[in-house]
Amino acid sequence: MKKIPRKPPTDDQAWKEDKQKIPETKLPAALNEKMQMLQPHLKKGADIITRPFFLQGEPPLEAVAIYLNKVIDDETLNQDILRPLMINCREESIQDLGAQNLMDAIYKTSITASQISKTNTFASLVQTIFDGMTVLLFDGLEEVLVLDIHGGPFRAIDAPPAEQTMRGSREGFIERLDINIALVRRRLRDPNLVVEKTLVGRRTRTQVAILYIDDIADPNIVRTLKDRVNQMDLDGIVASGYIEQFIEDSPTSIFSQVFITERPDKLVALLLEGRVAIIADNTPLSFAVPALFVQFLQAPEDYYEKTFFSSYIRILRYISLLIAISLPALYIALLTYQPELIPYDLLISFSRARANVPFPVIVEALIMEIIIQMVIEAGLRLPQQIGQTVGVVSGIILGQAAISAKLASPIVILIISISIICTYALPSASMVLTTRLLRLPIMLLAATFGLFGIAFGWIVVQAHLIGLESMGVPYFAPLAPMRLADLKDTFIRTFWKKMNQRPVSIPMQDRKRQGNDGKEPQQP
Amino acid sequence: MRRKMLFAALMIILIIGISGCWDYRDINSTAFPQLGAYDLHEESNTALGNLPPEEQQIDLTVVIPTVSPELESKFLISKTSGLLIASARGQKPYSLPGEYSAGVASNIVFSEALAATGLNKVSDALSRGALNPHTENYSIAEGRAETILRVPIKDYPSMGDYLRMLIRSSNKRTFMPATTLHQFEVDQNPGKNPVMPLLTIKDEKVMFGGAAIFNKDKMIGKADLNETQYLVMLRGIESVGNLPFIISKEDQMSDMGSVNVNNKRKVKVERNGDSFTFTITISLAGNLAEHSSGVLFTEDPKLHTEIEDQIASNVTEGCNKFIEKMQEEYKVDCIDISKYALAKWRKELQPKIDEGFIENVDIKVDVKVKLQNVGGES
Amino acid sequence: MKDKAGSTITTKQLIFIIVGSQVGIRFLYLPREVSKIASEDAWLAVFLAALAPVIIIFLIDRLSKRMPDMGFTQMSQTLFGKFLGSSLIVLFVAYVIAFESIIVRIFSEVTKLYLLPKTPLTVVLFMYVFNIVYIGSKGARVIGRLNELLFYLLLANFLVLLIPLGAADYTNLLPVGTAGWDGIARGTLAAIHFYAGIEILLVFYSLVNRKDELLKAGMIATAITTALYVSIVVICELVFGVNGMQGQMFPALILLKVVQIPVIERLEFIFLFFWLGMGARPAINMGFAASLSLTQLLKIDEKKYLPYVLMFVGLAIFIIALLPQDILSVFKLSNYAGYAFYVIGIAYPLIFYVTALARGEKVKQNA
Repeated sequence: MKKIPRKPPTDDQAWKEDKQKIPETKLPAALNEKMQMLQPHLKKGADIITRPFFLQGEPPLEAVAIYLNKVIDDETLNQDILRPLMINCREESIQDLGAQNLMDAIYKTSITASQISKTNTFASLVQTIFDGMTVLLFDGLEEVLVLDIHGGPFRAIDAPPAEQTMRGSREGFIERLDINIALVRRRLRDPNLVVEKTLVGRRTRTQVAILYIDDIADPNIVRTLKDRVNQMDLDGIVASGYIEQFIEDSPTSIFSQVFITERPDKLVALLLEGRVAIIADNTPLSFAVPALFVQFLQAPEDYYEKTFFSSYIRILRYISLLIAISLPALYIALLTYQPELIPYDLLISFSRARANVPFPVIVEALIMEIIIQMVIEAGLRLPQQIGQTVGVVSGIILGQAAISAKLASPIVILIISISIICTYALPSASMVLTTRLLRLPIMLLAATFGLFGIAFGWIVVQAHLIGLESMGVPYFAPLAPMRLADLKDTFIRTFWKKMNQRPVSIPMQDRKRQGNDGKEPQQP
Repeated sequence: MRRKMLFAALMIILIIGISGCWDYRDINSTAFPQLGAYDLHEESNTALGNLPPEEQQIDLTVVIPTVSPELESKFLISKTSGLLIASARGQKPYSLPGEYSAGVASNIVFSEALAATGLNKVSDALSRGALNPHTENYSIAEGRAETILRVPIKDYPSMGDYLRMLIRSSNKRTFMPATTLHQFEVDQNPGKNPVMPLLTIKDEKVMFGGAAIFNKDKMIGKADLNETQYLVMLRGIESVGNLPFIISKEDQMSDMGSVNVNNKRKVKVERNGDSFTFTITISLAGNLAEHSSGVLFTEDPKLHTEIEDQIASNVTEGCNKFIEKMQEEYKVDCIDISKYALAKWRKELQPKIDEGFIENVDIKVDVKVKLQNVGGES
Repeated sequence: MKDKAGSTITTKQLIFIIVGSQVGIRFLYLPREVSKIASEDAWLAVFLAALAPVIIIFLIDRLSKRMPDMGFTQMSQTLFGKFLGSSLIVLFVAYVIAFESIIVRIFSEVTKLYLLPKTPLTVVLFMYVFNIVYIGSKGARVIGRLNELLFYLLLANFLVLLIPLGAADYTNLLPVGTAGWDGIARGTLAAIHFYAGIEILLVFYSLVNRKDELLKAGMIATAITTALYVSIVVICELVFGVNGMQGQMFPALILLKVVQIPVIERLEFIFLFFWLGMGARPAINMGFAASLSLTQLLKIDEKKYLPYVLMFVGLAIFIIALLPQDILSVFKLSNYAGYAFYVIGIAYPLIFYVTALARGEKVKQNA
């Protein structure tokens, strides 16, 4: 086979012309001229359908409908656009209809589709075709009509897979941006909810919506966010994850500075707290800024249940965060550097359990840790039918086999499993990933310096967290700049009547959110 | 640029870390002694070491539990000799594999003879070691401490386990003092002296045989089990124990039984010129464990007070006898009352509190017994 | 708190910074040193010694009211002229670096003694210095927040120290006044050393956003420090007795070894976990103060060059900390540093204030 050169033929004229931008020329009036201009672009897409037709009436007006196959709703096209134009329109004269010109007459009286706009430049014509709109080109009219009748099959609204809840709505976002926005609007009917759309990505031209409540959110944050999104200049984005990494304050940090959620009810709660949200088309996720560390340890059910249950579970979560990060490291440090700190009976039983294991503790722990991480990754990729089986098999049998082969002591398997379970007890996927990663360096530090190493690692992590900012808001508030008012929603969740102010850790305009100020309503 | 420097610093740490874990010791191969016995040196061929004879003064014998489950014996005993404790430990690597971790031994037994020459010099190694807790229990053995260690034991995994459980909360189960390293050190302060439990071997079993009386760090006497009871009550060590009683009327025994009581004390000191009077009030409170006469308490209310009085008089008599012995024979304050005098007149008394003070003071004992409960039967 | 100007701290954070700079590793041997001189009345001596920082705060507050917007360097140069002012600053920075080195060295020694006996001193020192440089390079706001967080951890740690009170003997404290006025006075002088750390207020006050609350903040901070110090002295006296303490290097640490609690048999376990944060705090604060002064002295942009200056300061600390041969000479050096505290801590604010008064009107016009 002929070898395909790696470098593109840079002096190939045709290739260069191809890379030109689409010119912004005005459209000519004649239909066949317009079609001629469009021809090279229409050639590239076999799924672009051109449907010429005549408008009803004398003299017959030629028109062409251009659209992408299956991206639009065929039913609407046929019933609301083609049928009225071809069969029903132009029975009265223009003046009778009260329109200024023919174009107005056509689209304001004849076409019964709902979202219509006009355009008259070539570039926008081409772009709108590829954006999935239907364009109507008329002979003798310079302007073309652009109709948004998106349709085509899409996934039904389903329970969000990663954020299950026992008590609360089971709707999750899907890939269609408009439906996602509708889900939010259904829950938040405030007229002050602002939805702004922009396009991101030169080639993908993905629609991205920015939502915030006008009189609560801080205008600085909104402005910063919009600036950063508009500064994104790249080929395309496939998922909102790309946007996150561009707008984060410190993309090098392992802690995520935006809060991702798949659920509209959670998003509405975040908007009510004064945050700004972004939803991207084709991604069933949305994210909100500014994010605080303590958010990643809160789950929506906390607010639906009673105070005592929620507070208990929250405290459990904090403990499990600590355990998830430090337990294996603690085990390593205690067993190899400071065995004197372990109670004596435990010490002897640990010694006996490790009697025949040939590896040092650190190697043992690292091996088990890496094996478990691989099992988790494999579980993610396996098809559903064998996913369950492999999970059970690897968990139980691997563990048993390792113990019998004397490659690991039962204690280390127990410890690693407990820390993995604690990792997955955290409600937010970003925090789970962070914890999985953070465990390793702390284990290595513990293996080198013992308890001192763990303390050192923790101080570095803490210093990093305290210095982190999300859109300029300190990340570790309300713990580091200690905001006492917010502490009632951090480790515990106090009664709803007492949470009458929005979080003070986030800058915003309007703090009050309850009318009764936390007191009982007056008796009549 | 800053990032790069940070990265470089992290790399340095990593390289340092990997290049040497200096303090790494694996728990498999570490020897954790449970019980240590310190003796004066005695010529024998079971002591291992390479020091010249004049540097062998102390014998250190330890009990180390074994970790490998396939072994039949659950422990091994290792004996070395050296100048003092740490040098004896330093001889261990010649015959004992693995790291020796001295910081976990929970019991130390000293021999009488060694105690008589002063324990501070051997306790120094234990308190100087940074990893040792100061809660190790000290006790004295009658005879050589090594023999205690080597008494064969069938009911417990090792002598170390047995002694650990025996001594650890001895003062919560009966009237026996329990001394830790911390207590021993604190008791070297002016006006105080330590006491330690005494271990003897009877019928091939190791058991408590009383208490050892100290003058600062030298042992000067022994008290038997009976006297130890009164010592504990006078010294104010809060314990729980069982006291028997016999009530006789007109030379005939009318009732006998025993009570379980816990003790507390209060001390008051008064001064009259150069003479001091201490009043020790001992309160015993508890319940009746048993009695033999079968007389019901609901019918005979006086029986209650009779029992209380009998016990009070028993205890008072025993305490007074002990105080006499202390002032005449031992001549040291082993009941820890001088501190109350120091609390009031420290500047004056501190220089001479340890010489000639306790034998010239007047000590009065007052015992109050309260039986709060007579049990389920009436 | 959203402003990214970088260098403002709140009053509350100032309190924690001051407390953090004073209470560090040295409180471990505070009881021993003071009770050597003042015997049972050591706690009284420590309490009375709190007068010194109060005076210093007062002086600094007055000083800052006269020249509210100037940094320490600027002020010194304005008051004393460029040459003398700069050399005063250099002396100050040298003092801070030397003090820090001593603290870091003591800290490393204790770590080596209790946690990592065989690890070479250089490695342990490096880890501390790395911490100082890394945290200091994040700016004053992060230092303020970190001090806040670590303060609460310090309180939790302190509660652990209360557990040995079960073995306390109250007669060890009595009678009051044994040492006599002479003993108490000398004890107070010795105790003043341990309040060193307050002089960095000279550098930090220009970073506070509400300068009128400086006095209040300083008072609260001194009160907290005094409370902590007095309690530790009292607890140590109660548990060990004055004579018992003399036999131990670090009584406050041995405190944790004397009792056992049911599950976690060894109390040090909890304490050592929070060890590093506690001990590193004075060094972090001082390192930052020194670097800030240096940047102002050399008139270079703070934001860009602070990390580099910090690295230089860190290197200096590292080298100086390696100089003493053993722990006893470190204690001697720390005594000298205590004397230096008299000069820098007390004399500096005094001289500055007097000069500011003397040049009264002229300075106000320049400000």
